[in-house]
Amino acid sequence: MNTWLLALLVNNHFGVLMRVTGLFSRRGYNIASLSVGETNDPDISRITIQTHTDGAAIHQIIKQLEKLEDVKSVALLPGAETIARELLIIKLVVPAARRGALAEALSGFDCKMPYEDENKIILEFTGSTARCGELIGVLDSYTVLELCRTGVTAMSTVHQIQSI
Amino acid sequence: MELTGAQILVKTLIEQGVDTVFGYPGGTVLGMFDALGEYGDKIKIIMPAHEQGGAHAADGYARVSGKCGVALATSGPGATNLVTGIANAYMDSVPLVAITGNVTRALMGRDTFQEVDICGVTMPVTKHNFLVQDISELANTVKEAFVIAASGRPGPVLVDIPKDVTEEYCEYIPAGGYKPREAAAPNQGSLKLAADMIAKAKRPLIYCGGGVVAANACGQLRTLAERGNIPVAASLMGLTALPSDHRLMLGMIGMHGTPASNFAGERCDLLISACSRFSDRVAGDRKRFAPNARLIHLDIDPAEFDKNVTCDLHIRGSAEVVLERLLIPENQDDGWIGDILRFKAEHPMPDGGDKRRINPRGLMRVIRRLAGEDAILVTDVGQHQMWAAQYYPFERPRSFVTSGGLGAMGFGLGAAIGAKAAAPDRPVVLVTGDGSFHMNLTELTTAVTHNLPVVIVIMNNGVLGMVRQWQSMFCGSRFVSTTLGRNADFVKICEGFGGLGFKADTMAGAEAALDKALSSGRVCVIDCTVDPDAKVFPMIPPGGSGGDIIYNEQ
Repeated sequence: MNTWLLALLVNNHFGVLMRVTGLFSRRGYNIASLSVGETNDPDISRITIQTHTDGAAIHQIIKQLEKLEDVKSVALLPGAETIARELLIIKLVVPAARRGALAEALSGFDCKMPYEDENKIILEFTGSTARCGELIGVLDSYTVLELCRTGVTAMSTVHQIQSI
Repeated sequence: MELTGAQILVKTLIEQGVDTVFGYPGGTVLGMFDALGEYGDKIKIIMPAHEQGGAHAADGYARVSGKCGVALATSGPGATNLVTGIANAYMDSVPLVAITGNVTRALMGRDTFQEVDICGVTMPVTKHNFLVQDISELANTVKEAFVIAASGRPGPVLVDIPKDVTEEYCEYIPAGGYKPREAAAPNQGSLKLAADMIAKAKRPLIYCGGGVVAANACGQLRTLAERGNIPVAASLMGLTALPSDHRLMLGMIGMHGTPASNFAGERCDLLISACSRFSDRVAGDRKRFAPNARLIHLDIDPAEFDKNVTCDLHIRGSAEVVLERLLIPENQDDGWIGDILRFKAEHPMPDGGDKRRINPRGLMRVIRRLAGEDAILVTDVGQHQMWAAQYYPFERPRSFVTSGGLGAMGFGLGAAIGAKAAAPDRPVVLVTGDGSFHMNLTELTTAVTHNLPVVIVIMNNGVLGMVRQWQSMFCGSRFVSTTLGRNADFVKICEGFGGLGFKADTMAGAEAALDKALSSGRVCVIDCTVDPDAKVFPMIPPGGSGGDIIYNEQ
């Protein structure tokens, strides 16, 4: 089992996401994370899918995706030359007495704090999946009220992904 | 010129070359039928008894004619009734355009009367589907549906049109007739490599699939096989690619394939898969299929490559072009085919059976003899289907219409009606079982009403034969729910619908009835009593490979 990152350019229509995710579920593939958004071309959306599977299956997935009429291109992003990021937002209970310690614990992370009140804070962090995991680990001793992640979005530093 | 959406739809269908629509009216397609009536001189409506029959008819029509079949149904239940037919076309790669009405746009999403999200429902069983929300896109969308259905690997496309879109007016700009997208040319280097592999092989075998028939590439296949002296084993869908009596034709391969085909599959040192997909009914054990061979896979759909069986070389392209460009040296060495023919002589297909009753195997040859080489044989699903595949002598491509991938009991009668509509001058014989026929026999009324005289041969064993066979082999002969004990009188049923009915208990009786039926010009049922314990052999148990073949009951 390996982890793969796929970048898809698709028509920006209703139902396209369902076609893509439906294909994964009915062929028995698992989506570890998925993110989607419009591109600079408003007719085209970009979907990033992270999936865990073996080498033979990933090629089958790509070929099945390429058969969908609404999918314009599918690219397998190489691990090494790819910028892959997640946005993590986390709401924590942090009493005033622990704020100093928290700031210290977070010193290695480029975190933002878009909200705070007397009981709780909200942290915003962008980084690799691994870094997001590390940050969550660092916050282990705090009470987490809510946590959300966008899933990976990614771009190759070398290849230009274009729709056909 | 301003036209309604319904008129635009019908005019666009006519531009796509459609002359027959298998359609059932209803609330949301009122406008469409109005327009179909208006252009009745150009498009014929064949109305089924149930939309499923209409979808199967459109499928049968497409298989025989090579054109896109068109099925039309109203929203909600009309649309969902099409689904089995659409799935069937999807599994067998049949070009089909399904058109459904839907509730008006303002009522969508409100659980309106007869509202179903048919695009959502059919997503997994269509190549693509469209919901037309803007009348200005209607003509192009309908044309695009035909392009997608017919291009590359064919398949079904659904176009869902809200009722108010069919009622609106819009300037009509003809979309023009469709042309399938051209497939990319096959890789020259791979072709050369494949030709070298074939030239060097001592025991090559072509495993021919339905894609060869769908692409009208049977001539090219034959040329290749004859030039290289390469025997051909076919999947169920590929059976008509070469005449059954051709010296290189080994018949069907796989679960109920011939001993010769499966022997060749086991022994070959090179297997060339021509547009087939290594389904579980052929390659039961994917790891041990053609265990001594290198494998070449030719297909127009690259997603088939390495999906089920991993091959050494893949060539993507249309069957016609790929087979034509495989330039192999002429080979006159009969050693390999001789080995196979010797094996075949030592391991004949089972024959005979209870002499007092009708022998279903022999009956296939009787049908062919009386109906002639021009006949189209349609089947349902089950034992009779396998006997047809094993024993009916096929002559021409597109003369065998059967539900291969989906295995949909109830397919046959609708499909036979579609086949007859596509080829009214050719005899159409449906071979079915009492189980399958019971599922959709209401379509007798369609055949009678539209004067589509198909001859229906029921292999009536009073049981669900294939399931019973599996129960006998794998469930300790506990025959749960397969002994039908029904009292349906198929002769009276057919007469009740306005056709002719015959009953036969002996081969001579069946032959006499067939003779009368084929010359009657009427819809006929011949109810043939067959042995409930007759089994389909040879058989490779599910998950097995050629080495696991069971030749006969003993």
